[in-house]
Amino acid sequence: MMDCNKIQEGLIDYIDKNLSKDEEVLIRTHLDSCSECSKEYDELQLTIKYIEEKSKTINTDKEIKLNTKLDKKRSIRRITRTGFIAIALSFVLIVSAVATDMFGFLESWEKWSERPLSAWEQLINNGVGQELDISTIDNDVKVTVEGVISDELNTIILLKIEDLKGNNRLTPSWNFTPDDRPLYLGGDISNPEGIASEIPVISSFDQLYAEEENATRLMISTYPLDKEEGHIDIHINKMIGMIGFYQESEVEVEGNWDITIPVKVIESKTYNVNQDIDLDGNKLIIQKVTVAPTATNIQYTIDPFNKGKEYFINNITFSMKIGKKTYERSELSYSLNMINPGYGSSSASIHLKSIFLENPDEIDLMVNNYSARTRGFDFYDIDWDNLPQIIEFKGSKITVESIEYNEDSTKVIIKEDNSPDREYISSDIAFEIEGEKTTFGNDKEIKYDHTYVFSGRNLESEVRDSKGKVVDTAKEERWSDENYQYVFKQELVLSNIDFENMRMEPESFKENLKPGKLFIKGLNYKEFPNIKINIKLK
Amino acid sequence: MKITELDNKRLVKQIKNGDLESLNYWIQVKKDKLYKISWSYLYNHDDIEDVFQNTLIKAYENIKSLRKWNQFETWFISILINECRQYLRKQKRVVLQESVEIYGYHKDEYNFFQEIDSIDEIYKEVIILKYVSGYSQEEISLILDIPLGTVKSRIYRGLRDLRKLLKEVE
Repeated sequence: MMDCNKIQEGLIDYIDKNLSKDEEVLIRTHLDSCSECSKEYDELQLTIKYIEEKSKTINTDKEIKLNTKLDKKRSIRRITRTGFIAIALSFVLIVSAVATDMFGFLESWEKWSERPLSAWEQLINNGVGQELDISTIDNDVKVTVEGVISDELNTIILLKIEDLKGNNRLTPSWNFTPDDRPLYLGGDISNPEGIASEIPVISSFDQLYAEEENATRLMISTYPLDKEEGHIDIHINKMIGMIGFYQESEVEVEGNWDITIPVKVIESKTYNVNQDIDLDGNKLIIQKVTVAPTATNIQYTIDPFNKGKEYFINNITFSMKIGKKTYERSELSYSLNMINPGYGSSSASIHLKSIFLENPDEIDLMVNNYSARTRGFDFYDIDWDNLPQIIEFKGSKITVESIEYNEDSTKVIIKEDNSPDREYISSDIAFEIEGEKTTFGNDKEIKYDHTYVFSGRNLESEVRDSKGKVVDTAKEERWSDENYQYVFKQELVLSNIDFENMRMEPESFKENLKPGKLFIKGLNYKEFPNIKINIKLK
Repeated sequence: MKITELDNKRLVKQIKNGDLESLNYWIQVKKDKLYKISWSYLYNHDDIEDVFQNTLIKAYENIKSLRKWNQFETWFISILINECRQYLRKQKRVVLQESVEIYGYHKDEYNFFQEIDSIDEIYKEVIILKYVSGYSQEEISLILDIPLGTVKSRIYRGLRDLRKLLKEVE
């Protein structure tokens, strides 16, 4: 009798048909008699099927244009391994720095930097956080720590980097590998996610604009401290010249910039709120509000499934009001704010702007909007010779407008109502083709049944705001929480190129170009509930 | 032309000579697999294009380090994965989610990768290579430079973790 652990370890090979006849028989016999292992086997199979199904939704039929001309800049960079040569070469590259500025990079960078910098200054000017002036110089590059703001949500450090000899805006490279980092933090930083101790402290940094031509500001954010008062070690070993967002020049300076700074945690205030909100039938509970310098954290729970509308809420955004002033997302702190769509309660939190200085007795919390997606799908028989045809999915009308047969592809156009009373914002529509798939494993051909999914692509859509007005995203500085993509025309394409990429059997290509049933996966909604609740903090 | 007809030996030689057009051709032929791997990390077409470009250059710059020409594909993919990871570091998740909305990618596509993303990196990469891009255990062992036994146990662990996660969502 083989023990179950051994069997379970062999299941992957069993599924892959990687085993000898004897081993295979051994496992099969065991599975027949052991319910635990056979359950394990079924679950593995289900999970594999799930991943394979999902990965088919990736649309790989997009053009990739690659530049195959070796450009000279790249090859120079390979020689400039040392900082010395990099600096020697830097005068050549001033040209490229000026050139990029013509495209307005500096201007938009300055504008973009204004939000976090002014939020920072407001705190520091009011005595919140520590103003510091600790610097170090190596290879003619000066690094100065200008301050630190540390609370229960974040630790944020502001640096200034100055190129003393040249005229470069330097930054630790954003192009690095886990083993070759340009910036390390150490000291008394907590490890809230239980990350293995050999992994360096996780931090992120943003390059912010500085007026001087030879300077950059760097805002580093990391986890809170693990004690009330302690220190943080900053180590930088490599910097590159910055000429655009994620665009580096050829300048590369290596060195050792080490600074240790004292850090003191500013006590934040957490209020247990536990106020219920009826969010169109879903129970939303605001659990806690944490008032900290870097952000105001709103912690909430929700049961995402809405029985009336039969959809799952997957995202909620909030803002606050004190008097007439509105506080949206924090400029200094990021929060993922994701809700797991599923049954049962899910908790999440959002970081809004700081109200630490205002220290109000009460706030008005607004639920701005939420996104949701319907549960359940449907298949439709379409009379392809008699288009347009209107179908109804969960009470919404969708028009199958036209079909175009080409030699190696078939295109179907789906048109959706664009009148103001349409409730959903976009639909997920696809074709599914059942077929046999072949892969090559260990020089063997393996065939198995497979469902291919061909999802729709947007042809006509608009970005709209809460009032349904069209937003010109090119003119907007940033994506606002209230914006959403409103789709009213999409195309479904079946093509030989896709079939080939998906490794379908070539004999079936011709047959598969004929469209089958239309698969409607769901509708996406964005709701603006216009809810405001008053929360007493004191 | 089918990929089986493409002579890897000649390809490697051409890359060494600086002929990147043939490498570009090879990439286009293999696009489906390569794209899916990159998508699993980046979820964004523009970023994927950038990463392909970087990988093309890195492959050229490091072609001398390739010992066996018949391992070109696994070698190339190890560079690609590395480039994806590097690229990811410069992005913030929040921005990512927004671009998913802007460009109209399907939500469930994104949620799926959220799930895959929630399992440990070492399990995530084997799962992607095996079930999203369809590489064999041996190929994965070469790509990630880890023993075959480790590949097996990571696939098993990864599937179990993912299953656990999916159960929670259900």
